[in-house]
Amino acid sequence: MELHLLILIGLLVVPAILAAFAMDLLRAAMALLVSSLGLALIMFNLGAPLAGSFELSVGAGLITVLFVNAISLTRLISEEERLERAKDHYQRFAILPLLAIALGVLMYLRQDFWATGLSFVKHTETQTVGEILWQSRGLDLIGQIVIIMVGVYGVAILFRRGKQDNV
Amino acid sequence: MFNLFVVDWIAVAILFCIGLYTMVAAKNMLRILIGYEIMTKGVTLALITAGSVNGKIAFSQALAITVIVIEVVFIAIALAIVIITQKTKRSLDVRKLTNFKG
Repeated sequence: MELHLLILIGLLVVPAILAAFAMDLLRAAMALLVSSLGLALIMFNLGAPLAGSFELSVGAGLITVLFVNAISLTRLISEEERLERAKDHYQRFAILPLLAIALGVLMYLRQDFWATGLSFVKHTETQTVGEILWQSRGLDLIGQIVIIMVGVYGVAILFRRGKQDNV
Repeated sequence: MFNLFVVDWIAVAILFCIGLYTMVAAKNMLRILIGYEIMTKGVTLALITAGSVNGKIAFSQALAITVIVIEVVFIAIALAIVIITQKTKRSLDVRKLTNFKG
């Protein structure tokens, strides 16, 4: 296996740990952005450019914008409150990097236990992503359209109710 | 030597566990959503890795795109709920969300 794929996996996992560990929510959102970038690069590397570009535009772009927007609309806390919360936060999340390293090392050392029994048949694909989405997984596409419409309707209703409550 | 399948699945397991731990341990609603995002990244990586190993990369791309669409709609609605909760309760602490009338 090539070294660059290991670096890309590091680019995915390490910012994800930082996003969970960071006390500052804006830093966590930025770490999530870098993690999405790593995932998109892995997808490009594995031969999935469509999913990669989708992850790059939606996962890294749109979701980060939504998070930053939501963070900017929340209340600021005082310095004393922030210090108090930071102590509690680091106590709760201190185990997280250790958990990730321990899990990685354990899975790597015991790969004979979980990876050797699995066998893969290498298929040859004849359909493109577009053909799969429009033909064999057409129902998924209808579901996606319905979910997007429900999402737009849900957000519109929630904000309208929020405005009415404020008045 | 390293194997693509092994390393990717280790990354999937780590991402899923980190996300799950964050969702369980966090009290802030935004941090819970960040945990959900991390979990979803693990799931998307699992789909693409499985497709790459099996040679069904186009099929796994179609599924990954579906997962990403569902993820972004969920995040949009959840963040709208977070903003409204912040406005009404003046807090994002999930422990304070137990006394709703319904």
